[in-house]
Amino acid sequence: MQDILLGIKQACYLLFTFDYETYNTILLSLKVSGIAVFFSSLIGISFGTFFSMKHFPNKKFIMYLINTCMGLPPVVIGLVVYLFLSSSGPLGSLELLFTAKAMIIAQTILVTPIIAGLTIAALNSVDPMIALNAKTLGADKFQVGLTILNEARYGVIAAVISGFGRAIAEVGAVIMVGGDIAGSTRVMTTAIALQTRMGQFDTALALGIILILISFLINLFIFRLADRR
Amino acid sequence: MSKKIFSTLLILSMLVVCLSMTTVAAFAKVSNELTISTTTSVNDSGLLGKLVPKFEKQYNAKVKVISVGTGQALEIARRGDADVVLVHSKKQETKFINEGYGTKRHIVMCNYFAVVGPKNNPAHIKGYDFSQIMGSIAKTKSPFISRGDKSGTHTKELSLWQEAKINPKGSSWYIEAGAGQGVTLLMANEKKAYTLTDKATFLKFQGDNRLPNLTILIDGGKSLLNVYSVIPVNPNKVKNVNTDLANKFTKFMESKPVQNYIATYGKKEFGKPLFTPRIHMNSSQII
Repeated sequence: MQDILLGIKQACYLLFTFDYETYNTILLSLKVSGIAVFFSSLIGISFGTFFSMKHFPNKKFIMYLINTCMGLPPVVIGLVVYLFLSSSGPLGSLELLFTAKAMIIAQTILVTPIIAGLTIAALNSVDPMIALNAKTLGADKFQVGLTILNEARYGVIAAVISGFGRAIAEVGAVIMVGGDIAGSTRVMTTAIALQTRMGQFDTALALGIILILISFLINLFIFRLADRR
Repeated sequence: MSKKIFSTLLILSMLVVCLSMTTVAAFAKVSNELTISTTTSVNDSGLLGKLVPKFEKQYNAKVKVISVGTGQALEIARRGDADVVLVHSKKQETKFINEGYGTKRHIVMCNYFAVVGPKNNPAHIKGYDFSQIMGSIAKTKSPFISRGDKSGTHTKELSLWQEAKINPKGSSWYIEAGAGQGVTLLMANEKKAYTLTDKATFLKFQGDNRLPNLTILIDGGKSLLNVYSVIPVNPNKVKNVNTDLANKFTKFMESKPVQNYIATYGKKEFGKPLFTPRIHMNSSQII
């Protein structure tokens, strides 16, 4: 269809002329989602490992909660975080609203349950003999954890990639807490929404194509990295 | 992976956390920062994009423009997340000021909405009598798309129904979109329906050949007057607002050079300027 061809043409144009605004937007998307996924992985993987190893009451119930949180609507998270960071909200004095930091916070909340939930699933499918063997070889709890994590590394990497995919593609949370401000909080998804609203469909499609390309390259990079072990 | 590598990673990540947090602490509101909450129709016209850099230079300030629907723009201001608003909905603005959140309504410019619809005009609407116009649409059960999102355009649309003493809500032909102006127009085009729109968005989309089924049917007239005003947020009711810069922005928008700029804005792209500045508005328009 002609519009899509125009979109591809515009994508090439923006990329190869090093359009400042476009590259700025790409960089910000990567920064916000990258940092968010970094923190989410830290929290999610540690929690996931701890959770899958320990035995405690109501474990199943907490699992249901985690699974529910995996599907939290980004726009709702955006609204709740906005209410917290708002000047009239409890954390208003931090003056984080309409900044990239607020976007990182919102995306971290969005992605942590996803990484935690998928990490738990990956760890649960590891042969329990592995943990037993490690224990008999004298490993302490911490080392056992690392062992099963290592065994499930492909599943864990898939969890992180899933989380990143969610973050880089969402618009509901970042637009609410970031405000889509040109130059400081405009990311790929909010830019696409804006271009669409203004009727500039070729630019909107172009940015969409670039976003998909970037996701693809990042996935490729992470999997190559994992395969080399 | 050994314990050593893990500990190193842990320390590294804690460093990253600390580094990113160092710039978080703020002890006072940055005095040269202004947050304006405005509507999508104002921002998408590109006017603020041209005016804001001038303001920033003149007052050595940093400006954040948050562009959302009118309802949201005012709500953000109520919460102290904006210092000044630029919106176009007298009813909502009056409520905003009466509730104590805004100081004064400073009219800065105006233009007119348009009623667009299918070229064959099944409801045969014409003229400027809106009781008749809305009545015809309702009687012929012609499809009508509403923004349905508390935007300035939506508020105006509701007032037109009120003028005609008709309540269209719930009728099969009345479609509440909850979408932005562009999408609403595309929908009207698809369904060959009537809708209310600002002219700039319509002309832009029409120029790109996306609205082959639609044409402007009613253009202008008192009922379609669209007035834009700047309202500084009231520091007596809302904490932490930058009143100084808010007032400076108000003065800036009312200043002669800016008003003259507004008078010609859009002429190149659309043939006619998009707005009439306050200095050129006549008494019947200053409402």
